[in-house]
Amino acid sequence: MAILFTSAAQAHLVTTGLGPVYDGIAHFALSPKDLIAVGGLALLAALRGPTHGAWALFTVSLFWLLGAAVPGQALGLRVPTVVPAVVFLVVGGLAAADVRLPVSISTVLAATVGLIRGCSNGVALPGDRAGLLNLAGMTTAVFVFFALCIVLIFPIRSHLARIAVRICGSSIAATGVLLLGWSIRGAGSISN
Amino acid sequence: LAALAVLFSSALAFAHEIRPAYLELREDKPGEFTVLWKTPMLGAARLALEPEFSGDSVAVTPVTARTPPGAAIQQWTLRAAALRGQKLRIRGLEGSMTDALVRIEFADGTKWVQRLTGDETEAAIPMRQSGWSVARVYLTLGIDHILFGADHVLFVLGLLLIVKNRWMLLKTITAFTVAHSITLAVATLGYANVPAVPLNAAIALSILFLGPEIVRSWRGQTSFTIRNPWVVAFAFGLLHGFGFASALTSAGLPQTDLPLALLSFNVGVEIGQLSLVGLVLSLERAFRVLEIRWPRWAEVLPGYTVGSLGAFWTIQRVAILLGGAQ
Repeated sequence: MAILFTSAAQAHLVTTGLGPVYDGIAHFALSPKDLIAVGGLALLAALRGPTHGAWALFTVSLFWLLGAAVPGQALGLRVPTVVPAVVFLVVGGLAAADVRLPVSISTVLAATVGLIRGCSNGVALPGDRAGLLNLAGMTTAVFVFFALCIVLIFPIRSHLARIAVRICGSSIAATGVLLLGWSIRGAGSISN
Repeated sequence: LAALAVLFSSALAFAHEIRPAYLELREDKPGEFTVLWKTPMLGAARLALEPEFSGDSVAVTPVTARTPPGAAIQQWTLRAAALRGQKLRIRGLEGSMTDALVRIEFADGTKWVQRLTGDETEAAIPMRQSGWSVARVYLTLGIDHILFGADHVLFVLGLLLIVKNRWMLLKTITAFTVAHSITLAVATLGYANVPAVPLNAAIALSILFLGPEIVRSWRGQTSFTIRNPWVVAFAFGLLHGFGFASALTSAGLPQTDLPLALLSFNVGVEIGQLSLVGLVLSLERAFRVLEIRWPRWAEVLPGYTVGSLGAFWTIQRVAILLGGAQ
């Protein structure tokens, strides 16, 4: 447990010089793990249909906010390295396999991903007004990025496009396998 | 759109003081600088901002002060053997919502331009500064000015709520861009000037004007504005251009800096505006693709937010105008 949850923070925030809201947006935009996790969820939602997409859009943003604010910023809980790898593996694997999930399960998945990634980012946030604005920027970026992914992916309904989306999913899963391997080799290390 | 309108209207609480403070140092003799320090006034009080250097610097003349309308100007002579490499900090900026533009002109003709903000209150004076980094200062000022200027954002949002099709959208945004670029250039180059208080009241009125038009548009009614939103965008765009110009004109930049400052600032404003329009359209399309059905109150919220804030600002600014007149 000591390895899983420590209070020391290593993560750092991006400074754009444009203020904390932009810093939060830039932090998300420059974090591959965040982009891949949210992008993977969007792929999965796009394969399943608009109801899944609508639920995932609001759920992932809301739980990102909660995860960053409560376990991340307020409690300082840190997510072990193995968790992002598992997130990639599960989200990418489900997209690659084109699994027909019910809406409730895909919503729970979006909530879990939002909570985990939000918590990972929340530990680096200062507990002042700048931290709150940073969090607002970050959550807005998650919402907008998910929505933009949906706009790009969803209208393409051809069979080939569906295969391309599944290939992207398998790439995410493969990234998860690699990360999992690295995290097991360096067992005990904690990262963001 | 509702979320965006609420988000941007919440910028009320964090609204930037649109007139930045301005610090200019001109090296007349080696190691000796004429300092001009211009700070905006809040009512009868000067904003409590003071420049500080990290290294050796000493004032060799007493500070002379004057207060033209809306600003306090202090001038003195500063001796600093090596200003390059020192850090400049604006004390008091961290607790304010304003920015400070800094311009140092050295005897060898090189200059340093920097914008300090509440989040970045100090900067090191470099040995050299590229033209691009000077342009970037004004570019970010332009982006910041539109994205944090809640009134400009709400006006653009209001237009987007009225416009019915892509062609009309292109015409409307182009008309707004052309109009505000004209008055931004005219005001910055000093050919025309509009006092800040009546200008702000007129800008608020432009937002209030859009409120009833948005409601008419929902009800399926028509009006001159709904049929020709580009005309309204052009007319009010002229006003908003004067508003954008206040960020540059209030500083009193030297003539030599104006072309680069104007160009970069305007490009920044356009980047901010196009990003906002692109963002709103993309989100609107995403909601359509996802077949999200909003409750009635959420659908009407953006229009009422635009109208209510426009009314609030109009009353507030007209009261200030009348108070000032008395």
